[in-house]
Amino acid sequence: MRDSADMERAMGEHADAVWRACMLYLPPCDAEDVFQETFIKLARHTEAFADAAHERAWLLRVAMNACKDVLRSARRRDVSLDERLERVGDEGLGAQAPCETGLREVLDALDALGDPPKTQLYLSLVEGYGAREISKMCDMPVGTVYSWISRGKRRLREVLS
Amino acid sequence: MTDAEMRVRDAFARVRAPEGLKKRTIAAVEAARAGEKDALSLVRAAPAHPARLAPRRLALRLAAAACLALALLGGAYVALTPTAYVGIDVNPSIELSVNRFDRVVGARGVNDDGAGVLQGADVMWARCADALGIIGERLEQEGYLDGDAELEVTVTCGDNGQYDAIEAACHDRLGDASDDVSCSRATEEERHAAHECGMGVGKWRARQDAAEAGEGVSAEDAADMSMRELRDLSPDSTVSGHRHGGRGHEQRGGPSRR
Repeated sequence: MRDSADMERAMGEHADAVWRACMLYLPPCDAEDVFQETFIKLARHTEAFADAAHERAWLLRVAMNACKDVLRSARRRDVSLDERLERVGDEGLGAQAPCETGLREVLDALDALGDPPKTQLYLSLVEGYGAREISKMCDMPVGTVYSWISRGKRRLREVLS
Repeated sequence: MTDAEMRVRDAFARVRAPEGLKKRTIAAVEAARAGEKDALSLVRAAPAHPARLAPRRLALRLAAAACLALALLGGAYVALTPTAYVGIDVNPSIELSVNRFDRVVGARGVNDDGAGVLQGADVMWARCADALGIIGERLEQEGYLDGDAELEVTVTCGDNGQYDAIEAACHDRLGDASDDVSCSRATEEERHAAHECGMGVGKWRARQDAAEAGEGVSAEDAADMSMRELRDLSPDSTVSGHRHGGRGHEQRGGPSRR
């Protein structure tokens, strides 16, 4: 396993990005589980990363896949995300942002887009990844990523307008 | 970048991972490093919202819980069911219930003196041999084994191996306390008949012997008499012959005596 100092560093550098990714898909209580799970996987991932960007991309990919697994499992159990979010309520968003309602509206808007393009649009707009990087993270051809991002932006304008 | 895109970026830009979560996660990593199996559950914060379980998952958990409960009930039933009753008669009359694992699962005084002896003796869940040793010490301390006191142990048990073990324990743990210890096997019918008369099997048999010798005593009187006093009513009776022979009770040979 990675040593404690390395994990402290990774936590300092990537915790916010991983937490945002978890919040994109899940209510806070489930997001916390995935967040912890993601960093435990990192601790057990002994292969070296090329750089911090490579490490962050790995973490986001692991976190997003874990979130989608949770959602798939919830769907199998016939529990809708809407239902889960309703039960959590606004306060459950847990963001330390002053404008929680704004985050909630944005999350609702992104959910309304469907996935794709939610993930591709998020990685592009919020995390600043280019289509080529997103294509690797999402196992999707670059052209398709471009197409989804473009379509997502168009729909986002409609939803948030 | 359009307004909508800016709103998305700005909303997420304000989101920070809670410090508490980061600390718990580091703790979880350290716990995982230490080899703990369920690191996540150990360090998870108290849920802000009640746990939610889907019906199917809940049903599975309930089924598992039911199976566990059945297994526990089955185990408890086996553990609590006596497979041998060990009667100890001096004047105090005591009965121990012993399970198949050689543990005492019940102890009662058949008469008041027996109950008094048990009050100071912690024998529940003890091995049968240890329980006999404890009771022997208590009988000695209370002066019940002074002089020529006779101590008779009767075992109602369907398992030959268990009987042999109890018989050996009887001589091993009670032999030092009394010079006159005998152990024999009794039937369930004898046990019930003795208890109906308010005495242990040892005394019940001695009373029967006395009656056959023409020295009948009432059940009430017999219950208050010591084994030695009852034996003295029929001095011709012997352990190996008269006392246990010819009664038709389930016996694997004569009683052992020390």
